[in-house]
Amino acid sequence: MWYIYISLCLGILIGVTNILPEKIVKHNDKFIIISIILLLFVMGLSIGLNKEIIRDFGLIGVTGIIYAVMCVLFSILVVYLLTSIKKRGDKK
Amino acid sequence: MKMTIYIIITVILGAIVSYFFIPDTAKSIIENLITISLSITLFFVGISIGRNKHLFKDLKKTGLKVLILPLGTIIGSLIGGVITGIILKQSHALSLAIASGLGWYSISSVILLPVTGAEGATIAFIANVMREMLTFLLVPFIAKKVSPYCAISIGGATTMDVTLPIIARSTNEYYALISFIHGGIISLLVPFLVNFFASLI
Repeated sequence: MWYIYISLCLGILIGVTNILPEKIVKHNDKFIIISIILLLFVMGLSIGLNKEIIRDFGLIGVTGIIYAVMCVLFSILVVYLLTSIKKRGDKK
Repeated sequence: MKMTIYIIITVILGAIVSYFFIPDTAKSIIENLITISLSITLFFVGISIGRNKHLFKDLKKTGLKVLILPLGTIIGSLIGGVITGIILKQSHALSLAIASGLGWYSISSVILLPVTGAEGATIAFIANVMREMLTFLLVPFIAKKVSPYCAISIGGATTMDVTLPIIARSTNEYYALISFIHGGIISLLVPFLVNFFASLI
């Protein structure tokens, strides 16, 4: 897994030093989108491999989904409250 | 919205292909493919971070406040877990252990397996895989309509690697860096949190 952080750092280094020609770098946003789509497809592949879990998804699966949705909702809520408190503080 | 639809279609397409056509023995190959495609994506994200010259100055201005964000994410997640547990009549300790996985599904299910058996571990696995998926689906929308900070909080531990590209794409380089720090801090804490709550079961 260390490869991914090495390539992130390598990318930052290339970005900072500006060694790639502008002609290539200006398409960087497109490269990001294409590689995200590739990543998502491979992640889909890895999800589909959990055949047993998919076959008897049932109640356990629904339970898992409810946990995920609730955790996400309350993370958003707490961070929303924290950042709005901070904003109000900044105005004063 | 367009991005979200592409995301759903791509993931489902991948899942269908592997469910019907790829044998279980290919698991390690696909894990390698994830690492490779993630490396490629993060390389490009790195370039866009590196090209932004004000970035580190902006981050310095933010200072220690950057630590509050992961704390908010964790507290919110634990509250959400406990409330779900009350609704579904699960023990608080199990709910907290599931919630404190924060999207890192491999670790939460591995720690829970010897404690709860297959059922608890599977719930933790699905809950945390779903958190990762929800991050891909919700980040583009929440970043635009609510705030980039709230969008980052969805991803939990995953915002330093797997979901960093989608956050970088939906916000800007500054928030990409915040996202990386957020995910890094949470990833350091997840093993301790899951172990702690699992020990209370």
